[in-house]
Amino acid sequence: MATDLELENELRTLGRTIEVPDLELAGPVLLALRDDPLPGGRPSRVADLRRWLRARRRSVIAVLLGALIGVGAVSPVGAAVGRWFGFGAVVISEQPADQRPPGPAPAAGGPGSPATSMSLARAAELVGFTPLVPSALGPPGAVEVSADHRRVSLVWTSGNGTVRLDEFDGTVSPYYYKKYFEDVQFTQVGSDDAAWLSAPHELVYVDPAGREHTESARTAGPTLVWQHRGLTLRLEGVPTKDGALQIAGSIR
Amino acid sequence: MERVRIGDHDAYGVLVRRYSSIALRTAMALGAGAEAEDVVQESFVNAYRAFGRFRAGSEFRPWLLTIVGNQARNVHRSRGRRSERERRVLIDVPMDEAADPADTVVGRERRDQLHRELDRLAARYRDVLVCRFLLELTESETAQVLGLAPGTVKSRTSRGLRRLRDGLTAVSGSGPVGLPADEATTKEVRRGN
Repeated sequence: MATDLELENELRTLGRTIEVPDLELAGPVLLALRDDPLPGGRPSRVADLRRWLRARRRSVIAVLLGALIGVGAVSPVGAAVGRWFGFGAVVISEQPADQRPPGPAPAAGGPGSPATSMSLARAAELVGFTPLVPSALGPPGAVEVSADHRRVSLVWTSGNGTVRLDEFDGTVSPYYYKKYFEDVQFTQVGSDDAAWLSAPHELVYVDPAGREHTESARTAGPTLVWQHRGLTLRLEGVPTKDGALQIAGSIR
Repeated sequence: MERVRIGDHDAYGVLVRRYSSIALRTAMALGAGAEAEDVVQESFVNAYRAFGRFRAGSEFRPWLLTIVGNQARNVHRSRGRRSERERRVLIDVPMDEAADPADTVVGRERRDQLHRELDRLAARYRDVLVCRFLLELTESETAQVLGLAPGTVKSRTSRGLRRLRDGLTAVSGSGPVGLPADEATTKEVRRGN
């Protein structure tokens, strides 16, 4: 029979196997406190925060469950996720298999995105930022702006398939949080942190007004996500990481 | 701390990062379930706003965890039985065997057993054991977080450990020989809870 001390130690060991997601909470907390210059100074605006949090409820649950199920105590992904910290207004989440978009090649267009092509200048007017164009690919075959004017997509179609570059204005990123992701490889585009994803994902970004937007994956293939000059960029349709990095690096 | 007191948000951000993990574990262990993240964020916000009541020179951690504990129990109470189920899911989650160094110390089977028996304990014992050992809080931190007198924590700890051990003994059958009698004894003990 175990002594009290042995049992205590077993319980401590047990406690250490319970992992919690490594969440970046400072951002949201400071955001909620942004109008509170001095601690303890004003009546609570907890109701506002509650409302704000409620909108995120589903993702919060997904984060907790995902992390608890997927993460071991010394998971190598956990180590990688440490580097994710401060990356930007990006959340990458695994997409359940049954929701993966069919077909191997990225389709031009897609939900929320009228397939009408336009000039880069017109796109810039609509989204309010100048789209970045990788010189390695030359002028895009098509330029699209999402119906909500938040995303611009550049599309190149050739005999090798379709390459698609989505750009979001993620300049102000009041909070970061992340999900543990099996297929993420951290890399760099120039001096910018980047993530190479070998499986479909959805991307959540935060617009300058602090609202969260979810963009589902357009392809079943690998993706490079990075931030450059205040924009969040997603490149799909390039089969190799080196190829994707080369294209990404050609954006000045 | 002094920088926080004069309204330095960056300094508070440092505190938030430092204590996020233990705050989340506390919220989960005390029944906040899937709302643990919300509970912790609200706690940090409330703690900042209540900073005027935080005494200079005292420890921030137990003070924060008290707020987390209250917040978690509010959520727990408002959801009743449902949170009990979710709480179990959160604690009972299967861990990745290969990546878990604890496996060398406590076998998986034993951990499952501990989980089960902890779940079967009355909440007043379980919460104390969870705070003291799973979360590794001190006796006075536990008292503060659970809103109990230190003496109560002490007595519930030893009683909780005894009940837990009785439960484990009955399950594993490693107790005294003569199983039928042993089982009967266990039932007696349970009824006494």
